[in-house]
Amino acid sequence: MTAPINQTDAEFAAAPDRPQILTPPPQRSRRMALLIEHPTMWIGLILLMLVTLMGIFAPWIATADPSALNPAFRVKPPSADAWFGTDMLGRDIFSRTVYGARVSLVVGAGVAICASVVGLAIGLLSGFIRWADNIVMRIMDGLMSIPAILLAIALMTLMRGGSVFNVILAITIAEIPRVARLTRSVVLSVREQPYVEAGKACGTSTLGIIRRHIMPNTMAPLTVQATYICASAMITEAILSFIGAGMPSSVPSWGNIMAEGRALWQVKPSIVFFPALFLSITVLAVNLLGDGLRDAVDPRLAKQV
Amino acid sequence: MTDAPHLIEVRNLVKRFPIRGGLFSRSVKAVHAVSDVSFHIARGETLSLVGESGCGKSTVGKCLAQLIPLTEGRITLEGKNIAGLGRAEMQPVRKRMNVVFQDPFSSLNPRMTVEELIAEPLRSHRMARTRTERRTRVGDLLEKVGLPRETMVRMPHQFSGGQRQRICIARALASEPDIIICDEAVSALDVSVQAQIINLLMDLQKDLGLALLFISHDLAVVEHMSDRIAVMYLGRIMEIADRDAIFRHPRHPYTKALLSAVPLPDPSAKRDRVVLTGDVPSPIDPPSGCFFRTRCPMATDRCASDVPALRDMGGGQMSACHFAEEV
Amino acid sequence: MALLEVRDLQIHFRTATAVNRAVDGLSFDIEAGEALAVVGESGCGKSVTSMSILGLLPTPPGKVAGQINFRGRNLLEASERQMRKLRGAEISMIFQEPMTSLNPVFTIGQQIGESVRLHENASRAQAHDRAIEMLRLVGIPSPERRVDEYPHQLSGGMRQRAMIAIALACNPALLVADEPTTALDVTIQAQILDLMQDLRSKVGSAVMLITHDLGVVAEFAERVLVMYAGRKVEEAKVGDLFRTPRHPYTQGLLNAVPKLGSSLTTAEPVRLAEIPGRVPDLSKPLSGCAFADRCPRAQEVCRRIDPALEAKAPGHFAACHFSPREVSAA
Repeated sequence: MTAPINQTDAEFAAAPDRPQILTPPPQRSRRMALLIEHPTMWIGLILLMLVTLMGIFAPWIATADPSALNPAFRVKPPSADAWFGTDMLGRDIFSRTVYGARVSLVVGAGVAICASVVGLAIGLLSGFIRWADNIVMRIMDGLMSIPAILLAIALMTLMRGGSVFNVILAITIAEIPRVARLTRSVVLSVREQPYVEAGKACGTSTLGIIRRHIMPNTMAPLTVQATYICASAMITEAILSFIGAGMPSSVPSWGNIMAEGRALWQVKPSIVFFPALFLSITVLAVNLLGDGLRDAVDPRLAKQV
Repeated sequence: MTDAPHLIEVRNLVKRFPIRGGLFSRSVKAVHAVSDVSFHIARGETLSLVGESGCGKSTVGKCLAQLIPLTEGRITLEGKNIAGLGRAEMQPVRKRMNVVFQDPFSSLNPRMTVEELIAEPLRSHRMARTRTERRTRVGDLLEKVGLPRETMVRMPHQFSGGQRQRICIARALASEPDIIICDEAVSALDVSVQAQIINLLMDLQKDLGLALLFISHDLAVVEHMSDRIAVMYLGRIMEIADRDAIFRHPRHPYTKALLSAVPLPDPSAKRDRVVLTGDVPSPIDPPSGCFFRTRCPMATDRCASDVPALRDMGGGQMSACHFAEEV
Repeated sequence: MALLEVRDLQIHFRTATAVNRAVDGLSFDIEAGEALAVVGESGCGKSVTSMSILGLLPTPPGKVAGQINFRGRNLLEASERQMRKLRGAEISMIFQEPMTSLNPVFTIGQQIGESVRLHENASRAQAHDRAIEMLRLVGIPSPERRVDEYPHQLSGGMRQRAMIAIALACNPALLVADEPTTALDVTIQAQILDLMQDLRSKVGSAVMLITHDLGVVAEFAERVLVMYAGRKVEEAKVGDLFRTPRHPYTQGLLNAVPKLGSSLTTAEPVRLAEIPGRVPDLSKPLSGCAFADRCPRAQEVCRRIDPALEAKAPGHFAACHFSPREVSAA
């Protein structure tokens, strides 16, 4: 059917206007939207980058050699020469704190990566192999029933002697069960998804299913979990060093600095205060980043129909 | 029946899901999902499985596609047994059959591009070795199902339900199968889109000589699609026959009730309805004799004692009712 | 005055990037005791319309404008307290999924009795008796026993019956049923439709049936309203609509449904009539007719001028420039 050629617009009945009742949201670029919607992530990221830069450029930032003894200049309060004061051996606390960032960051990142990789492997294994599941998960339950810090202390004792490697290893073992459980739960829910069944129907092998369908789905929650593990590893490392079970006392780590100031902390709180402050800021930064990531990858929020 | 073996032949298929309980996870009871089901599918033919939820129609499809192991029975593909094969022996069988599932949203991995999704069967059956070869194949397949080639770079969430189902069909076609199992493949779609997909399936079937096992609860769609129809109830085939026979003169009281329960999009059509009372019994503890007798308007004492076998009512129409002649 | 008058209803939702016009300028009436069906495909706004009548839409992110007059009172201006008094007593709702809308920790009897006690100040014993009476009314066998059972002990069909019993416990003037049979099997669906028809004549409630199933519409409704992209495109008595659909969308829908018995006449398989394309994105501004992109009759003018809903025959309205008019404006 065609319209008569001479018909004018006026002869067509137009529907009444449909007014706008909601103002449209402002148009932003994706990056801006991400920044505005997840400000905590960006605050965390910036803080963390500052701390990282401090660790990397420690030799240039530090005002003195962190291990240089200066017996004449012991237990001084903060001053223009020593910004955070000096400790019982006359070492410059500012320089030691700056160098301490290295230990915290290396341990945090190291544990996060190692625990994620091993935990992912264990989680995949127990999510896919029924008989292994029971055994592996009971071991994980057993590990989880011991407080992480006690387990780490025990492991440090077994390994006799602190080094960055040993500290990372000890804390990693204590953190693995959390990752393994998380991965396993993701695997168990994803493997029931119809798209996994569809993959099987297409003839995809079990390894292919794991690699193409399951693994990518574990990445988002695993990344978020890794940041929390990183934060908790930094704290555990500080505690280990504080009680003398962690890094050798020659290495400036925040836990070590605090341990050295322990005896004097009522008279000279600055020795403990500054490393503690940096530790708190770093852990806060990592946690903020983790929270932001979690919000950003959460499908319920990400969907936004 | 001809001498050449049918494309698919299912003999006495039984599937029980054990329910574990007790101290040592013993299996205490079982869900009788499928009991003694036999049928065959010829090349290029559409066989539909219809029935209400829980009648075992999807389980039959999954057993056929070897997505779940069967408990008893025999499934042959061109005369060769395919039930209970190992992974390696199964691979060539998988190449020849694929599945399209009900929900086009959850049956596509949201983290893969359309290209990766459709290339999945190509990879696993080593059909296109190079990336360019795969791309060409994927593009051809997309065009075959009515989507532009360029869409292969996109992610599933950028498509509507109907388009996603087209992607699923393209993936199912990728390994050049002989049979596609459509498990409620159009049930989740809106009417206008459903028509598009039904037409697509029928066109593809004609062009490629595909056989379809079409699993659905929608009798109108089934009537439209099928050559033959098997009506299932509580894991058993109640009636199996050519489409016309089922719809013109059903020989089982359940088929009759099912047909009369479908609401017709025509307010002037007033029918005598056989409204079934009650609900489907539990498949954990099915009734004795005929499974349908608890709701059957024609049931007698005999139905409680004897299990009715499928009997030929002429013209290949088989009905599992003692009183099939009287229906 | 009609029981329910909806005027220029707009329901918009704000998302992170746009405003989604789920319902845009919808008007309709429901007379007392009438059965009105609202049909349309997913996303056409039929469900949000029903939610807005009960005041159940979250605002924000949503915003509702226009009028929903129930017995002459605009529900959009009513307080939450007033709406609570109304819900369950004068307007009830049945949802698609009976399992999720029943509370698993209360017995069926408690859930039926709750609204009776709330709205009619009945005692516990009275409420219990009413619950049994309602269960008997909706055809649940041995109601004296069932009344003390929990939802998980009932089958799907039984649960939907229980939902109906809850909805009808206070003899509401309007029952809003959102896809009440979609989750059910055909034989159970037939039971529930018969039950609803039967109860409508007994209780005298008006029913607003939301569905996508044209078969259910034909069996149940007296009047039909067809929605597309948040707008009403056609409204007519059920017989008129199925006999002479006047909007191309309705025509397309009716042709796209496979009909029982229709393919038997031909040996060759028949192709179904498709509606090409897909529904428009409601978060983008639409100019002209919402159906223009998929319409076989669309002309250039359809993309410019949004067609008004016009009476094409007595009691038969359609929003299409090119649908012939049988009467000169009724």
